[in-house]
Amino acid sequence: MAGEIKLKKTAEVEELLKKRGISDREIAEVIATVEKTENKLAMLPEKKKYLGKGVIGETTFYALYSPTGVANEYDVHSAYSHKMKIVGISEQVPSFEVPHTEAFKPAWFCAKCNEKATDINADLTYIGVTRSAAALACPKCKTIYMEEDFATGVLPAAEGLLEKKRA
Amino acid sequence: MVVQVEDIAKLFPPVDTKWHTHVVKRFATPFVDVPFDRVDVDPIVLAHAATSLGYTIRDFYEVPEFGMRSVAYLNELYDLLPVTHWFYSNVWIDALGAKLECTDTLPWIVKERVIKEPEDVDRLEVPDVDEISKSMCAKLYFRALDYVKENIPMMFVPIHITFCLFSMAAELYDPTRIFIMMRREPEMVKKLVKKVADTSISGALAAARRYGFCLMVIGSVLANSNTMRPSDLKDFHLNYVRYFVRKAMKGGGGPQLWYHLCGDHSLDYKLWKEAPLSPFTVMHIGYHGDDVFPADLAKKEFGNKATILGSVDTKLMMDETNFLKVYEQAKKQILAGKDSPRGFIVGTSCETPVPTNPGNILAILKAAREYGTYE
Repeated sequence: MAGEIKLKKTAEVEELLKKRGISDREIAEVIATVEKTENKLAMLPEKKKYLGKGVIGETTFYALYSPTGVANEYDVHSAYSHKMKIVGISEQVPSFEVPHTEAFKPAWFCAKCNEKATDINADLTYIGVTRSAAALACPKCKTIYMEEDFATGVLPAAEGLLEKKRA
Repeated sequence: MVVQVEDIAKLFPPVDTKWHTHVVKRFATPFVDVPFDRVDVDPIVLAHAATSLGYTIRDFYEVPEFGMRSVAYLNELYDLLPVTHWFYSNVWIDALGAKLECTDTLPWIVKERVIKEPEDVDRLEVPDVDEISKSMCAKLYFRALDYVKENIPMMFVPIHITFCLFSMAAELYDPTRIFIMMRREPEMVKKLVKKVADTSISGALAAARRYGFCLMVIGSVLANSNTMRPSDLKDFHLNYVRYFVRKAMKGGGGPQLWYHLCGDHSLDYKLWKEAPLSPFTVMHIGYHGDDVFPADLAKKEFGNKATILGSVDTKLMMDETNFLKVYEQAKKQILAGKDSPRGFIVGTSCETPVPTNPGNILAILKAAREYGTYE
């Protein structure tokens, strides 16, 4: 299945994914699974970009992508991963509106459940230590997604510190 | 005449590296689930470090390098933390035009407010990262942190102080009249708190750009259960805290978070479950009504989300000459919180007051040594 997927990337994205050590095979595997199950987030308002995730080995991979219109062909906008394993929702956080605030991060919609994804605090575990971190989840299917900034900034810092301190 | 930066090296003997190695391991306990030695004690020492060592409040706040070094020395004296810190509460508002000054008895306080009329809020311009890096606040912090990095690097931890967004908004206008403005022109107050949040985000990103990952200290001080209803606290403060944390972290701020809820939070503490968490979050609540916030309640509500910092009453630290009373309160908090799932630290409900009796710091330490040891 993964072999049928064709990925298109800009040179910039290619470089980013190389830096993050994420292969085409991993991205294709994530996209193949989420396209089959519809278990993905769509970026509002256009719903033309999707965020899907999949666990491969001990790592959770995410792909941010759009169908090109050609069967099995996708534009890849980004991909990222984290080693901390998602355990579940620690706290369902009510949504909030901050007046006079411009959007600084995308809003998401669960493609499967037709529900707007909400802020949560999720429990994550790594080398025997469980901690919480801000995340997104569909209020209906409860699928949890780590956003790119957390997965590429906060979680690697936490993983590194835990590896060092537990050594 | 305050202490001179170039004299600091001549004032303090070197850090005891054997002690430091031991304490580093203990300090990691609540964050990595590897119990070592005993519960850590963090009485949030600030200018008390300077005054108890024979210097002044001005020395502490006007010479941040000395402030850092004096806290480091006191940490060693009392066997507290392996890292040092320096901060004051009226942060970043000079970048919005407020004039601040130190006095002989107070830290940086506002001498000249910026907002005379609510309409002035619209005229405030939020500084970007480059602009805020040139502010008085950034310069003081960078001096403090650069000093530690260069001179006692083993005690270095980069910190971004957000403090209380609502308090900063009040300091720009008027800490009393802002509550009237909340009723008459709520949107203007929200706009003001938003501008304070954006200013602090610039500060957080300036710190991240200079030092990399930071500990962000976020307060809720003037926003507490004595001053406002929980629904107002959410609308005028907590939502902006959520906005601040997520936007600052998106830009590279954090990832360590310390929520410092000062004062009475008996009616609003549950709301703080909405605050964004990172894997290294400390939740510290000062009071429940007139009493210290019970460590068992903190453990029940937040123990599965964050490391708990249990409080000993700062009023006792100042006034009490019956050291057994402080010891008993610390013992009670330690026994109630020690087994909190994501770790426990014992400290004071707010900054150790300048006139704290050292016998009371020893009382907390003794309680930690006797009742806070790990099996």
